[in-house]
Amino acid sequence: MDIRNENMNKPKFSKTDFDKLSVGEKTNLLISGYHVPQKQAKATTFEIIRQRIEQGEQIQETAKRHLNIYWAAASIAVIALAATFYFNVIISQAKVVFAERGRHVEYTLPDGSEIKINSDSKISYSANKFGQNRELNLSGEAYFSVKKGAPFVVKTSIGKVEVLGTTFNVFSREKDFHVSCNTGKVRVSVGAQTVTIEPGEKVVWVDGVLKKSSFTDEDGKAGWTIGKFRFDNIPLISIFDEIERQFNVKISATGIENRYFTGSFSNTKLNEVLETVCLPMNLEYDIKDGNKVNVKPKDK
Amino acid sequence: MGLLSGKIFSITGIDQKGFERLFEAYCDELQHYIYYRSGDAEIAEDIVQDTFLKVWEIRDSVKVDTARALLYTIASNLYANRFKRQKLRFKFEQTILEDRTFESPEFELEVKEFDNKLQQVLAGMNEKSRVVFLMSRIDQMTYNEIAKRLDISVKAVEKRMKKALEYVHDKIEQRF
Repeated sequence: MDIRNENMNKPKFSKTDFDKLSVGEKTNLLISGYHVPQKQAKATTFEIIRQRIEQGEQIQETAKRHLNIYWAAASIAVIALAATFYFNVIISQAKVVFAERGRHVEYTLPDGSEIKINSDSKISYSANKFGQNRELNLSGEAYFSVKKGAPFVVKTSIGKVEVLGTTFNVFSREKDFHVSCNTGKVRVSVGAQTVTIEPGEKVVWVDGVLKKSSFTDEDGKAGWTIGKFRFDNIPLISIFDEIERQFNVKISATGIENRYFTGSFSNTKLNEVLETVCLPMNLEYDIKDGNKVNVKPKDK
Repeated sequence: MGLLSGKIFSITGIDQKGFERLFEAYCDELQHYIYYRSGDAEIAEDIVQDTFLKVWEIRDSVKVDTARALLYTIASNLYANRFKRQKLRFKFEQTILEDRTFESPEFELEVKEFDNKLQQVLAGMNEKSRVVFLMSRIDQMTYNEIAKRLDISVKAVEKRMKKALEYVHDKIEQRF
């Protein structure tokens, strides 16, 4: 529609009309148009609450080391007032974001850095300290787009990843730990070992050593973030682990020990993915109840 | 009225369904309430999250007919304990003027300036008066409802409202 036409349908607002209003009326007019800004949709808030419940997170009293008597008295009054419901007067600033199996979660940190969290992965950080200290914990896999600024640190159970502002992927599950860099520079350390990688490079923790190598990724970012999974000579057992996480299914497989897979799949349909992996590996599968998968070598 | 009112018996304990309904019904007004106090949408949303999480923790002892008041109590305590009073800066989204065409760009600027000043005046207002004033004006709550939400008397609401109106009048008059 022509913008001018649209404007013509709107009532004209003239200075003379506005000037006729009293201060109170002007105030009322403007306030009647106010909307409280919301950073996220209600459904998102509920989803986060649901995840935090699932995580078993509790709102607990942790702070208050420097209470003075006045405040102690005041909080006793508060507790007494609401005693039936409400024992802990509270301060937990721990933020936990969790992507359950079968889901990916996108999350923006307080500094504007963005994280895509892969299935069955979790990040946590301290909301009150993050402002001074950009540091978070990861278990599982996540892709980071870090806003430029102070050092940004990702800690996992195995090692530490440090950057200034860049995009990179971190995978840390059980004994597996690898980091790939898409832009900028990433410093990865485990204990005393430190390796710096640049775009197109990755570092893998193998047999107690950080090994640097190059990687190719057509899309310029970690494939899983756009639903594509590429595997380059990866143990078959890890592939099935990934499928379990992506589709929230249970896979029991025989005849896959010491075998490796190279190839790719996208996370759209379970049976297509299983087909893609099983066919070249000469395996067969069946799906029961929609979420139980049996994989075994094809009968000769 | 309140989604959970009108029950003849007072029920203690809420289940998952009840929790969801509680959230659906009161999430927005709770977020507004903390926004009126903090002037920070993010803080408001964090407090809402933590409040509902807390309610979930203690769900077995939550009385259905006082749940709404409980939400306000928890949110208020969380906010008071966690955040030091700081200088506020409101960023209300103004929608009323989108439906009109301004006579002239100069006039549009004048109204926007008035709007900015008004938001500054609100930020400078005493917190108790501001909360009452905005609950009444933005959420269209009656004095009675506000009194219930904040667990104060209707008289107190009237008093705070009067103070708020006087304050706005004074400050805006000074500026225009």
